[in-house]
Amino acid sequence: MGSLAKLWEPQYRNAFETSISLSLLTAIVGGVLGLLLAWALATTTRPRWLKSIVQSFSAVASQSGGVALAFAFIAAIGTQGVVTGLIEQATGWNLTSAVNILSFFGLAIVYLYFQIPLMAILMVPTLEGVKSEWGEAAASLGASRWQYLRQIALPIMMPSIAGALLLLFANSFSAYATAYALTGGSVNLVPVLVGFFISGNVLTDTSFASALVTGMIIITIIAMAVRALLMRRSTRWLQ
Amino acid sequence: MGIEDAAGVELADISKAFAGRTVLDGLDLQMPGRELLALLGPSGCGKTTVLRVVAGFESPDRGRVLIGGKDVTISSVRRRGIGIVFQAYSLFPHMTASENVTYGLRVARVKKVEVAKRATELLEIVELGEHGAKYPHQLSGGEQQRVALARALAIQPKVLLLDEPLSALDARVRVQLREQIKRIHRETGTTTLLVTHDQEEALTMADRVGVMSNGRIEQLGTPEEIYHHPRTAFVSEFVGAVNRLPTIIDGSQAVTLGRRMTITNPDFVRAGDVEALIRPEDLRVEAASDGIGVISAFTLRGAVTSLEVRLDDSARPLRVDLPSPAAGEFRISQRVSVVPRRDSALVDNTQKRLEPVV
Amino acid sequence: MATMTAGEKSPDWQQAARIAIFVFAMVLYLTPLVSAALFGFTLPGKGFTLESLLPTLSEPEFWPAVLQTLELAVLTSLSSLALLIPTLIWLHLRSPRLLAVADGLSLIPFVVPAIALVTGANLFFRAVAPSFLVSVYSLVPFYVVLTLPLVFRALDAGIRVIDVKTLMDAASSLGAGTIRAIIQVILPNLRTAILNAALLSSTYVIGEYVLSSLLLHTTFPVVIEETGQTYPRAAAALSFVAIMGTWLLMLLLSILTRGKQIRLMSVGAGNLAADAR
Repeated sequence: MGSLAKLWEPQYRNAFETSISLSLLTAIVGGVLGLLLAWALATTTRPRWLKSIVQSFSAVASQSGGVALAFAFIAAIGTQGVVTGLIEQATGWNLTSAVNILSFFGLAIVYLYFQIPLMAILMVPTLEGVKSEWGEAAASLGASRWQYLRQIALPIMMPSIAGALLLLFANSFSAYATAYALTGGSVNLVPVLVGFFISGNVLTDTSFASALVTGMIIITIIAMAVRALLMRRSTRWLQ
Repeated sequence: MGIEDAAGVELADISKAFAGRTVLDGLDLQMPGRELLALLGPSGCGKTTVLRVVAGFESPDRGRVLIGGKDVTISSVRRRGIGIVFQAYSLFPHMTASENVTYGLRVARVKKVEVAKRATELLEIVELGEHGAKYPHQLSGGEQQRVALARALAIQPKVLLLDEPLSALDARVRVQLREQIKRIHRETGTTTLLVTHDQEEALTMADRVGVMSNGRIEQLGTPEEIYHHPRTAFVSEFVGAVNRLPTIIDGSQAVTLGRRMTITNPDFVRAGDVEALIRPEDLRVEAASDGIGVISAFTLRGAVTSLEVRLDDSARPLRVDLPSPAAGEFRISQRVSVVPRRDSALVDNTQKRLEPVV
Repeated sequence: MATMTAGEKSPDWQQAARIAIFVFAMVLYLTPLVSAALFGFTLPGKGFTLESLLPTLSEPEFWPAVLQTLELAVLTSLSSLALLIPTLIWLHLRSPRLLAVADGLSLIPFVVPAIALVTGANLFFRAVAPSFLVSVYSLVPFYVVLTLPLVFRALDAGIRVIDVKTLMDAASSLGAGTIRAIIQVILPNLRTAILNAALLSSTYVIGEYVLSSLLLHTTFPVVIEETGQTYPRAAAALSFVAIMGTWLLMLLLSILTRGKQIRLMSVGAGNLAADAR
């Protein structure tokens, strides 16, 4: 129990704050961009080969992450990265001075690599589930396209969108491998902190690790439970 | 709740092609106000495309659309004053029945008090007065379609478009809803265009029926005209059953089953062998030991019984419909003579048919 | 699909927007991969070379780690299949209600992410059976648990497509015992689903870092991470190989399932997203 009280100490509270803000950031940005990608995937008919390729790559990218992804991004936009070098050659602007890959925002960028396609994959069935009859009926009843989106399409999709955002949040919150491989601990995140306490990098305090994990699980359980409730409604409407 | 000067619909020379395939080719149609017109035809004949062109969901490649005398060919769907009911998925799932029904009114910024009043009125008209607070998934298929109907009528459309509204429903519900739609049409006087592949629906509901095939209207007329005086082989075969009988052309008349008949299709062009198209109920059978056919089967359809008669000189069996009590006088293997009841018939060039008329 | 009001043909700007979105997406997906290849397989002034990799490849623990990972992948797949195939068949045949329960249970590994699982495992086994976690094979049961959602769904989808009850009835009416019926009648029809499940499971294991590193085992991802601390180019090269390997497995998966994959992935993605990271 004393461990739970310890959670409020500044450095541990900071870990939760950082994890939560990282998760919110990547969930929202990933959500918006992923929704755009989902729209493009759901509405495109031509060219079919391009859509197919993007869809397959998105499915794979949404499952990627971990150590390999971290080093690949370092190779791309790290201090000696390929892209960093190209940009510097072309414009003289040093990318690393603006965005250091080994920082909070660098990590966010790497997370977006899988958050965006994850959102897209989750939302394509939802977008496809929006029946053309609704749009046509709305038009016949005098609604403008904007009114239709605002009063019909978006509200119907909202439970699904919210559910997906919650999933993205939980996804980001629980991530360990990518964060550790990329930042090693310089960015204070809950999963990384837990790892330290288990493997004894600082000092082995497994009961405190459990307290941290409990805090983490509570957050993910709440997110998933709310999502489950939302999904019931959305499947009823969109099936 | 009626419409004083109900709007007519006119389609002039409408052509529409999808991906290189011509669906409509120079189609003309005129509906006077207050009429309920049914477009009847098999899948792919273009009837739904006609409805969608009237609605504005599709733009014709050529031709004009007029509603209430006004050219709406390039008008958006919103401005045409149409109401529509689809085969399925009509209702917005996240709104109650009342909210669905009043959506059009709320979009038009009608005052709340008025909106509430109209909601009750409209739900009463479709006999769903107590179901206003229910969500679509809590309603049966038939109830959902009634709500969709109420919603379409709420905005007092100039034209009501029904795209196979009953096709997804159970048979029993279909019959009930047919009556309701007819009643509502009578009460409101809204010009209505109904698209269906069910001939019974078209015949029982419509003031006029347009039978379509391959993008053209083969015949447009009252149900009686369509059924009893079909002008093409397609119409007579699609609406109701029909027998094809070997026929000889003699001068300007046809000779079928030993009987001289006037040819009813004015523009018939002979090409090889000819058949006459005669409906099962337009044939009579009599017991005759020297008759030309033998009864091979009975099919009880309810009030009517179909007799299958095999002619000596034809591979294809005939179907003769009699009132069931009368059919009871005949037996299988009985030799009979078959006589047409009328003295005019539609004729057609012989085509290969894959299945017999039963 | 219709977020557009009906009747409007897709405006040109919408089509242009879609293509632009696709291009951005592909650039996003390919940049790290291409960069990893360039960074790992070239040296400034030298062009294409495998030099950066050499020190790593000759490290004593490298090849054993690779083999270890492959071994774990195979063991995990086999264990999952051995566990779930009979269970799922039994559930489908005997108890649809329990099936729904099992379906819900299979989602638990998602709510409890890998980092939580390893914490719990650590606590539990250190107290109860400390030597259990020493063996690298102790990872297998954990991996089976963590891949449960994906494997469950892949197999379940396959079983739903074939009518298990009818097949079993037909087999037994022809004289086959239950086990024989399963082996000779059901399993051949589940080939694709089994392969899906195995591929998904293996892909997961090949990239799994959380448990292996925190339980102090040396697997391929662990080696990559360690390499990265001193030889960034070697790590990039290895990462490229790892990612390409995963993509090729996924390509194989998509060829096998041809379109159903996206639905499967969305279900799988929705339930197993976090743990490899």
